[in-house]
Formats: sequence, C-alpha cells, structure tokens
Amino acid sequence: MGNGSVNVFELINLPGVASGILVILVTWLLVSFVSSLTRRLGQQFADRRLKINQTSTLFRFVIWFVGLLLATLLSVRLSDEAVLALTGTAAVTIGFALKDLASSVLAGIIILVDRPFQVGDRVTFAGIYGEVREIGLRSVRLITLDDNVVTIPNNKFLTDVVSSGNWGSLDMLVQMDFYIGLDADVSRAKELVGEAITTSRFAYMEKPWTVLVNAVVHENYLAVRLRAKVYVLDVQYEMALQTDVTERVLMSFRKHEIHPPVILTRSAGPA
Amino acid sequence: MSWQCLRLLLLLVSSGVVAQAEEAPGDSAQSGAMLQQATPTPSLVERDEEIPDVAPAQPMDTAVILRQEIGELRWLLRGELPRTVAVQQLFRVELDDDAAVQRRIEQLEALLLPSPTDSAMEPETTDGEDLGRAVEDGDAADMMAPGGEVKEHSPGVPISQGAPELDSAARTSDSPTVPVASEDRTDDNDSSATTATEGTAVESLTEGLRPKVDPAPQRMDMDTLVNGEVEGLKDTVLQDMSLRLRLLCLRQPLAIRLGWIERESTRQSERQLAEARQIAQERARQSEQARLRALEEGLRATSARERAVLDIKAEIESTGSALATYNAVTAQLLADSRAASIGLHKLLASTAAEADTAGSGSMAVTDLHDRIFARLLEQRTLIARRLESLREAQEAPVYKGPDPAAVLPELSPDTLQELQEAVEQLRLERRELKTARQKVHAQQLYVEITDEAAINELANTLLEHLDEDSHDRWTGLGPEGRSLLASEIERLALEREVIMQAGRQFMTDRWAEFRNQESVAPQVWRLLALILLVTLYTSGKSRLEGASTSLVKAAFNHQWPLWARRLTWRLNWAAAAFGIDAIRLLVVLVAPVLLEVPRDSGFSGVLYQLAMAWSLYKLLFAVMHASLGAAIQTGRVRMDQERSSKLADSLHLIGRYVLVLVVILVLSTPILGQGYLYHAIESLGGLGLLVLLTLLAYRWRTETHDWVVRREPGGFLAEMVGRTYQFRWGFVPTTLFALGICVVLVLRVILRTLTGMTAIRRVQAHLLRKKLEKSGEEDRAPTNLPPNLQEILTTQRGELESRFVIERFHGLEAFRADMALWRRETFVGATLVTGRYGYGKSTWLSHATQAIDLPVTQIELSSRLATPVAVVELMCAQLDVPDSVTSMDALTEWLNRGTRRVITVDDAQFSFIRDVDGRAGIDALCHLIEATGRNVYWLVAMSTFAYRILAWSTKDNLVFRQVVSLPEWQEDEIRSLIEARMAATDWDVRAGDDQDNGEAADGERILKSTYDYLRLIWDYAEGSPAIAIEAWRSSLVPGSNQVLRLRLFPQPNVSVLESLTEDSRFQLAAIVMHESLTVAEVAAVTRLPTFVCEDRCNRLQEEGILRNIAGQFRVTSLWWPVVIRFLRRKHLITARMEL
Repeated sequence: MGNGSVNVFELINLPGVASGILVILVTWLLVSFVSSLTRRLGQQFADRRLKINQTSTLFRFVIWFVGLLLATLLSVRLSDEAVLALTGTAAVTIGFALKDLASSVLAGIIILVDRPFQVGDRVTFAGIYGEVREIGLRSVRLITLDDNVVTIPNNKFLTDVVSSGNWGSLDMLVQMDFYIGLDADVSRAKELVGEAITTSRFAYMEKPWTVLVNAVVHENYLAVRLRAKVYVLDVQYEMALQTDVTERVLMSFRKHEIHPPVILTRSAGPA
Repeated sequence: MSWQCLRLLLLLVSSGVVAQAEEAPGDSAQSGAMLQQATPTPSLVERDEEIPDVAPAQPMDTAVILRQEIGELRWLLRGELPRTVAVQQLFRVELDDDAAVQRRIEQLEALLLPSPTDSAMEPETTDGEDLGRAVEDGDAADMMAPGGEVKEHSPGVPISQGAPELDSAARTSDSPTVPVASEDRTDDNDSSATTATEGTAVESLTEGLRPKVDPAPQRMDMDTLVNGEVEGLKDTVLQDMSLRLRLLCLRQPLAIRLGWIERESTRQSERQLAEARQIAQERARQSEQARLRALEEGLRATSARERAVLDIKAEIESTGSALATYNAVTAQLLADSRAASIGLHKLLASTAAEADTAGSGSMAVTDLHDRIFARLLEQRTLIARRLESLREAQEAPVYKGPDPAAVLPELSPDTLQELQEAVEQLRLERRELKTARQKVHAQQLYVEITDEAAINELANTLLEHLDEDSHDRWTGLGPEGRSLLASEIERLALEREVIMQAGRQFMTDRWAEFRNQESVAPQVWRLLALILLVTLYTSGKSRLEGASTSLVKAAFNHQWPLWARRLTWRLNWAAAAFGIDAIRLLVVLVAPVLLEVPRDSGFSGVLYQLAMAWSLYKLLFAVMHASLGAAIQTGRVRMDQERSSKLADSLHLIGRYVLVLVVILVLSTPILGQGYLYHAIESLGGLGLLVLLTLLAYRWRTETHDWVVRREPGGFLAEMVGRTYQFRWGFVPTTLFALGICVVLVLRVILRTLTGMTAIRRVQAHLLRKKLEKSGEEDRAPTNLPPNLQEILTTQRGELESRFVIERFHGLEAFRADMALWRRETFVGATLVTGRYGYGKSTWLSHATQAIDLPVTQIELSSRLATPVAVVELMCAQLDVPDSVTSMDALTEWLNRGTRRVITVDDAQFSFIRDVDGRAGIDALCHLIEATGRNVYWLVAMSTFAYRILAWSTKDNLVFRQVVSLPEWQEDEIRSLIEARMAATDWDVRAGDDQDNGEAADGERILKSTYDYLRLIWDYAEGSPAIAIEAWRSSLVPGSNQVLRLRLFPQPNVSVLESLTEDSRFQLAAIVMHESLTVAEVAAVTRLPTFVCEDRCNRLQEEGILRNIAGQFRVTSLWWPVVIRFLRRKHLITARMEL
C-alpha cells in the first residue's frame, strides 16, 4: 500500500474483534430480554398490548443500533488513514454493494418516525394482508391470516402504498357481507344482522356499528347485499368475530327463513 | 547567593511576568518593543510621567520588565490606562469576575515575601494599602534612583519594607537548616525548592500558576550570581513592589475595574477605526496618483486606442479613489457617533449622580429635569434627521466609464480581461461599501435611539423625584404637562418609525446572515423552531385531546384510583375546553427562547408583551367560560340561559377592559417610560374600573337582591336591603351586603376543601391498607357473626334495609318534576335508573314511590324474560289483571283503561340477554311502556353494564324519557351507612389499642380507629355501599362482652384471575355485564359448549369468585372490584360502559 492507502487487514483490531463479538452477544441477549419482557407485559395488560409492542420495537431498534456501532468501533481501528480509506474507493464499493441494506436501515428509521403503521397493526401491502409483528433494522415482518411470515424490506414501504386497518389501536373496523335473495324480508334480515354483530362477544362497544343494504349482482345472481360494519374488540379476534357473526347470521336466517339469492322468474301478465 | 536568584525566578514566574513575555511567540515583537522602551535610559524616566507607547525589543532584562510593570500599575492606580497595556492579560484574570479576582488575590498573597512586619506586627493588607498610598503620592517613584537603583529607605516609609525582607531572606539563606540550591536548581522548575521561608506550601500554590518557560534565558552562571548580589536584591525589591501593586489594583472596586475594561475596549475600537481611516485615505491617495499617471500617459499616447485604454484606467482609478474616500467618511461617521454617545453617557451619569446628591424634591432636581428634558428633545431631533438620512438614497461612487469590451473589442484579450476585472472589482467594492455605510447609519441610529431611551428613562426618573408641585405641573394639564404629553406623542411617532426601520433592518440582517455560511446554522435552527412552534400551535389541540383521551382510557381500563380517574377526566375536559388557549400561551412563552430574541426590549419585546397579554386574556376567558358551562351542565350551578349569557357578557366586558388597560400600560412603559401617559392611564384606569364595577353592580341589581334575600332572609342588613332596593341607589347597599356574604362563603369553601380532599383520603386509605397487609393482619378465616348482627348487616332488599336509608337520591328531584309534568300532560312517562352493583337502585325506586299518591305496583325480576309472552305473564301476575287478559294487546288495553298508576320494574337486566333474539323481552317491555306510558308511569331500574349494552345495540333508541345514573357513594356517606347500622346493634367495635386484651398484634395496633378503617373500606368498594357492608361484615370478629374486634377483611387472590383461560375470561365478562346468568345463558352469550361453561362456572364458584343463587351465577361482593379491574385490564370492559 502506498501513502494514503490502507491495508484492509490493518483496519481490523483483532483483540477488539473478540470484544465486538461479546458486545453483539450481549446486545442479542438484551434484545431477547426486552422482547420477552414486553411480550409478557403485553399479555398482562392486554389493553395496552400494542403500545407495549411499539415501545419494544423502538427499544430493540436502539439497542441493536448502539450494539452494532459499539462492536464496529471496537473491531475497527478508525485512524485518520482508515477514515480516509473508508471515504475512498473502498467506501464507494462497499456502499454500492450494501446500498439496499443501508436504504432499508434508513427506511426503518423513517418508519419509526413517520409511523405509516405500527407494530400490531393489520396492514395491507402489495396484496398481502397481515399483522405487523416486527419492525426491524432491515425489514418488516408480517404474519398473514394463514400464519405465514412475510418479510418485506423496509425501503419498499417508502415508495409503495400501505394501508393500516387499526393504526395503533386495539380495535379495528371489520366489514362483512351477507347476500340474500330479492324476495327476502330485507328489513328483518337487516335486524338479524344487526343483532348478530351486537351480540358477538368480540364486538367493541365503544364505537358504532352499522348495516348497509345494497342491491347487487353477486356471482350472476341479483341479490341484496347486507354489509355489516362493526369494530372488533382486539385485532387478534378479527377472524373470530367474522366467524361468530357469520354463524349467528346464518342460524338466524335459517330460523327466520331468509334465503340466499336465487334466479327469479317473472311470469308475464295477460296480454 | 544562588538561592536568591532562584527565588527571584520563582516570583517572576509566579507573577506571570515572564510568561507574559514569552508565552505568545507571535507577540514577541511587541513585547520586545515594550522592553526596549523600558531600558534604563533617560527616556525611561519620562515614561513614568507619560503613557508608554512604543517600546524597543532585546535584550530582555528582569529589572526592566519589573520597572515597566510597576509603571503600568501606577498608571492604572492613578486612573489612567497605559496605551500598551492589555488589562486582562496584565492580571491574568477576568477583571469583571469577582470570584476569579478573589482567587487571584489569594494566589498572589501567597507569593508575597514574608517580612517581620507582616508576620508579627501588621496584617499584610495594611502594607498593600500603605504602598498604594505611597505610590499614588509618588513616593514609590522616589524609591527609585534615576538609574533604577534602590534608594536607601527610612524605617518610616512603608515601601522600604522590601529591605528588611531582603535582610531576612539573606539571614535565612545563611541558616544551616535551609537547603541551599545547587547550580542544577537554577532552572525555573526547581527554583521553588530554594524558597525555604515560604516552604512547600508556596510551591504548591505557585505550581498551577507557573507557565512553561524556556529555562535558557534565565540560566546564569554562578559567578555572575555571586558577583551580582546587589542586582539580585534590587530585583527582589522590584518584584515585591510589583506584586503589592498588582494586589492593590485587584482590590479596587468592581466599578473601577469595569472602567479599565471599558476604556481598553473603547481604545481598541478607536485604534481600529483610526487604522481603517488611515488605510482608506492612503488608498484614496494612491488611486488619485494612479489616475493622474494614467491621464498623463494618456496625453502622451500615440494612438486613439491607447488613449482610450488609459482613459478607462484613469476612470477606474478615479472611482477607486472616490470609493476609498467614501469608506474613510464611513469610518469617520462611526467614530463620531461613538464619541458622541460616550459623551452623552458621561453627561447622563453625572446628572444621575447630581440628582442623587441633591435629593428628591430639591430645586437642583427640578433644574436637572429641565435640562435633561431639553436634551431629550434635541436627541429626538437628531434621530428624526437620522431617519431622514436613512430614507434618502445613500449612493456610493460608481464607475461611469465605458464598458471596455464594448468600446475596445479589438483590444488584446489579456488587457481587456484586466480592465473588465478591475471594473467588476469596483462594482463589488461599491456594493460592500454601500452596505457598510447603511450598517453604519443603522448603527448610528441604534446608538442614538439607545441614548434617547436612556435620556427618557432618566427624565422619567427625575420626574418621580420632583417636588410635588413640579410633579403635578409636569403631569397635569398646564404648559409643562402639555409639553410632556406632546413629547410623548412625538416619541410615539418616533417609535413607529424606529420600529419600521428596525423591521427593515431585521430583514436585511437576516438576509445577510442567510448569505453568510457561518451563520446558517443558527438561522436554520430559528427556522426549525418557527416551524415547530407553528406545528405546535396548529396541531397541538388535536394531539392534546388525543393524549388526554388515551389517558382517560388508561385510567379506567387499569382501574386507577378514583381521584386519578377524576383528574384524567378533568384534564380531558380542560384539553377540550381551553387546550388551544393553553397551547397558545405555551407557544408565546417558548417562542422567545427558541427564536433567541429578547423579550424585554426592542420590537420583539413589545410583541412578546402584547402576545402574552392576549394569550392570558384568552386563556382566562376560556377557562371561565368552560367552567361556567360545565357547572351549569352538571347542575352545580342553576342558571337559565339569559343569566348565563349575561354573566358571560359581564365577565367579557371586565376582561376586555383590563386587557386594554394592561396592553396600554405594557406598551407605554417600554416605549414612553413611566411618564405623562403612564400616570394618566394609571389614574384613569382605576377610576374606570370603579365605574365599570358600579355599572355591573347596577346591571345585576335584581339578581343580587334576590340572592341576598334568599341567603339572608332576616336580620338588620337584610331588612335594610329590602327597604332601599326600590331606590335608584339601592343597588349599593345590596352589592356591599352581597360582597360580605361572598367573603364568608369563600372562607367556608376554603375550609371545607382543606378538610375534605378526596385525594388525601384515598392516599390515607391506601397507606393503611398497605400497613395492614404488611403486618400480616389479614386473616382469611371466616367468622360467624351472631344472627342479629348478620341480619342488620344485610345487603338483601327488604324492610330491614329500608330502615337504614341514607338520604342520598341523585336525580330524584328531576324524576319528581317529570312525574308532576306527566300528570298534567299526556306523554309517555318512563324513567330508567341505572347504577353499578350495590349502588342502591332498588332503594331509590322504593324511596321515589313513597310519596306518590297513585297506586304503585312494584315488580322485581329474578329470572330471564326471554319472550313477550313471559313479559305478559309476569305483568298479569303482578298486576292482578282479570283472567281474560292473556295477550299484549289486552294487557295494554287494560292498563290504558284503568286508573293512572305507577309501575316499577327492578332488575330489568333480566329482560334481555346478549344473543340473537335475546332482546325480545326488553322489546316487549318497551312496547308495553310506549303503549301505556300515558296512563302508567314506568320506573325501571337496570344495571349500568346492561344498560350500556342495550343502548349501544339499539343506538340509544330506548323509550325512556330520562335516565338517572346513580353516582358512586362518598366516604362520609358510606361511613354514615355503616355507623347507622352498627348503632342499631348492642355490639361495640374496638380496634387495636382499644382492645381489652393487652396482647394485641402489631396489625391491631395499626387499626387505631374505625374511622380510618372505614375509609379503607370506602376506597376498596369504589363507592359501592353493598360491597362496603360486605367488607365491613367480613372484618368483624366477635369477642366477649359484646365487643367486636376489627381485622382486615379477606383480600381476593388476584392471581386466580390471571390463570384463567381466554374463554373463562369471556364467560366472566358475560356474567358481569348481565350481573347474573345461568349456565345455559352463559353458553348462549359466549357460544361455547354448555358443559364447558358449566365446568368453568363451577370452578370459579369454588374459588369464591362466583356464587350460585337458584341457578344464577353472579360475582360475589368482595370479588366485584377485583374482577372489574381485571376485565378492564384485559380490555373486555371499557371505560364507556361504566359511565
């Protein structure tokens, strides 16, 4: 190496590498402890679960950031020459190689600050619907309703549209459609749907509910659509609410002889 | 001999003299110059008599340095400032910092040579003072021979104390006990070891003061030291003298030291200005010469092109010369302005001193005031002229020659570029000089305005010190007063101009700062701060409301103590009512700090005062308005709309009046000072307020009279009010009497508040409970109370319970009013009473129907009414209707045909269940109420949770005209209830120390009185009397002789709840919401299998959480608060359900 250039191996502080690894290990343990603690707190205080998760995310983010920074400082000799070298060709090369990673980390910070969604939110992103389980340094992890874990790099959220169903609240509006035939007693059916959603144990009683009626073409049938809107007590009961309400509605429809859509024929009158 | 030399070096280093000479290499020339000037030549003698100016350099001699320093210190003590002295550097301390100066004095005192007089006869300071006097008298100069030799001293002259010191030092050096320094110790670092008389203490003291000195210049060979004893003695004397003079200077008062600093600063400034003028004049001279040369060369030019080039060069030089002259004039302007300001300040200071000397009310003060007032008018004229000059165009010389590229395109590129660069340079220079001139004008204006403010302040101060007659003349309507008024009005106009000019200057400065890279960061910070403030103001209200709402939710979900929940509710209310006003005030308070603008002076100060007054006014008015509205809404204040709007108008009127008054005073004080207008406003303001209050009293005379008569119907004063009320002036005694009553009421309220704060009671209860729990007093063993005691402490409804009714019936008056109206009108009469478990709904129903002269039928539901048929059957059974009535229509018709009556339905939560088709019962009941409500008044009681479910699912479409929500019971009410019941028994309750048994446990001793314990029970029961009685009953342990021992009631084990499964939690929540459910109903509500529900209900029953009464599961009394708290935390019961 000539003047101004630095051997990469000279940058590494071998005794410091061991310390750096130890720091990373401690950081990992600390993050695990924080995660475990907040998970238990969330179970204990269900009404504050999302807030606790959000706080946990922030803590983990900071702990990882500080830990990695510390480990790097311990492992690398940042002399003037090293800094010069890092700002030189090597930096550009590494920067290009890791630009996606860097942009994801920066995007993670932006997500934490801008908060387009928060941990615990039910979000829809690029056709994927699920609950945000973790906002990490590099990516966001969603749990879909069929229990798949979807990992999305943070920088994707900077350019694409993401919608959040509850945005930091435990409760969330749930919408359910029921179709009945045109010849059914619509008002009675509406009452029954209303009763079904207000009697579900998963319904959230601090926010209003409603049932909307429309005449639509549903799978080639002319039908009356009853659209029920109610807030679920906790987003984790979203599907339970839908199941419970659907069961109640179907049972009551059967009981009150309210039938699904059929093709109706109309006989022409006398000429 | 060597020790003396080393000691000398030590002292030199400690005093910083050597360091001053060598510490800054860059200043070596100057230091050297000073030294050369200070060599012992005839000129040196003259230097003592005149301010030293320039000094030559090498060689550096210690004696020379000391003599020079002594001379400078003497100049300082005489009140002059030597031209070559940097005062702060001379003393190596911040002279305006008293603490630092004191530390420096202590350090220097430690370096003084000890003398027999010092140690045995006189304090050291005496030496310094004497020396100072000697120096001031010129004696010290006499101590020096013309050649710098030390004169023989006489014992009576204080300055001669240096000689005994030397003798003493010499004697000490001969002493065998003192280590004699070796030759190696002649360097500075080891010199302290030779100062045996001062010892190691001095060494340690001087350690930090000693600068690093190159030892080479001080290194002397031993022969010189031995042969130069006399020289060493002389230096020691000089050094000691220098130290003492230095101490004397440092002991001067702060004002004098500040004067040195100010003069030094002024001198530096003058020097810089003079240099600037000199440079500008030199530049002008050179440019003029260059122009002349160019013209001469132009005359000798042989070609037209060459002549044109030379003409352009001449024009360039001419412009440069003009610009240089312009610059010199600018510098001169600034110097003149400063000089004038300094002169004015001296005048003001002397005038203030004269006024102090003359004393208030003297003729001298009157004279001074007249002079200052005249000077004030002159100053304003000056400022007006300055403003005019600022408005005028301040054109700087400009290059008027032709464009070289246009007239000489064929010129060689190098020459052409050279000419164009010169022209461009002139243009840039002109712009800079023009800006500089503007700044100078602005600075001049600023200085003159500051001076004017100082004159005005002094004039106002003198105005206050005038004798009474003169003061009245100057603040009255006579010629003096009018002139003062005219002066202040003139100042108003002047201030307007000044503010506008300041605004323009502000914008110019900000723009210049933005263009200056060094000041970008503060500007960006200010911009960010401004954005932050705007954001805070615009979105602060919504965020505040959101935060307070979250706080309320948290408070209710986590079952915070009652006082905390109330506090959160009030905070929420406050955020909605006047959050924006509070934020406005916050923004006003924070803005000057963030934007880094002064808030007590200048334009920003005026703006700040105005904004502060306005924000306070808005906040106070919003608080008043919201409080009044809340008080009327909650019924604490009964006031019709007309009176409430009248009250708001009146308060608004007062507020605006006070605001205007305050704004005028606030504005007039910084702008005009406390002069004519201030006194006029002050006088008229008080008078105006009196008039305003009188007007308001007259406006409110009717209400005041009614209130007085209602409060105090009898007595002499009331009689007098009654007699005089009819007169036009009658409102005066009425108002006075009302004010007296108000004062008494306020005192009562204060006393009541201090003795009855809920928060304090809660804290006391909590502490007591913690103490009892810690002491292990909790005894879970059940006790068997005697039957009569159990009967009296029952919570079951019945005749016995009605014996112990506490007069506490919230909303009863409203019900009676509605009832009375119903009897006159024809509308559906229906009232719903809601309340949490044990709040007394049944008792309320019983009490409400006692005084009604209509037939009353009381129906109590105990099982689920799931269908309309069940409702009809129940009604028919309870109302004793004919057998033919078997349907809803028939029942309706029968009720409508019969006499008017009242029907009460208790525990109406049994009329529905949270399931599909589960509202059939309550729907049927509501239909019956609606159909018969004009002939039958329905009074229905229902639990709060059930009512909330019903209201939510029906979207508040219920048939009831009014809903009475029973609030929680207060501590004294629960105490009265329990005490009333215990009074009906023949048992005595004794706690702790009251026990006959002397072996009472620690916990028993803590229970010092039942009073504290009842507070604990009230806190635990959260205002439910049923739970409180249950807890009280569980706390009693029967003893001998009809004595009951008090213990802490068994506390539910919360961990049992934490171990419940999710389904169990939902089951528990369903039971709480319905107050009681059967297993089948639990299964229907939760849609869980029946056998699962049965199993879990049984388990909860085994844990004591539930009890089973005729197949109905309900939460046991002592578990109620714990279960509610748990369900809130699990988000299964929300805050709104409990309202």
